[in-house]
Amino acid sequence: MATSFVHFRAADFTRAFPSALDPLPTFVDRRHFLDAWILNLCFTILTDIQTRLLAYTGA
Amino acid sequence: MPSHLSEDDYIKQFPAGLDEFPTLVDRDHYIDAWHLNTIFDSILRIEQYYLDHKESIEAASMDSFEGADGLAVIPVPAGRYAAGKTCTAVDANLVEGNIKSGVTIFGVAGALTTGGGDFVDASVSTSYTADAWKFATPAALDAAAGIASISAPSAST
Repeated sequence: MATSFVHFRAADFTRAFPSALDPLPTFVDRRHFLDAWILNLCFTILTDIQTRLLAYTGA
Repeated sequence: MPSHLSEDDYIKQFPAGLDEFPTLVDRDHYIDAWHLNTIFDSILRIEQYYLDHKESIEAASMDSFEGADGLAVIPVPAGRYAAGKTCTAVDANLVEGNIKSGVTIFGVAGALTTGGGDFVDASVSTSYTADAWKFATPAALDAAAGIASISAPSAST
């Protein structure tokens, strides 16, 4: 039985934080490709949170 | 041959503690879907924590301040105060001249001294020297007969 891999689309996950939680994909082995934009999104979210914390705590 | 790391070995603790994450090694470990899922899960936990505490996190940073003159209970303005910031109560009457010498109140050493002296009250003094009101004194007391009445005050004796 052939395995059908699919790509998540970046356009389907519009950032909502800090107004609300970000919508994020849920991966399934042998079902989804791990694309570059996924990791880039992770890094962007992390730096956004860090930036906000630094800005508001005076660090 | 690469191996798969087990998601069950990495416990989520945030915000009580730090989340546990694996350290992946090229050619030793597979990169599985759960790795990204656990990253996203942790991100969402952080975002939720931020949203839950947004008001305090984003509150303005405040400095120490003084209350209005004479206020014993001082309202504290909204904001975020770093450890060590203070609120000081002040009162213009809290000066050394208002505090007895030898007494220190809130760090202010008193300097007030009083001389004491005789009691002087012009109205009382005048009343007695004028001799205007005296009670009549019986000439003699007859204890056996008892005293039925005492004369009313006389203004002239």
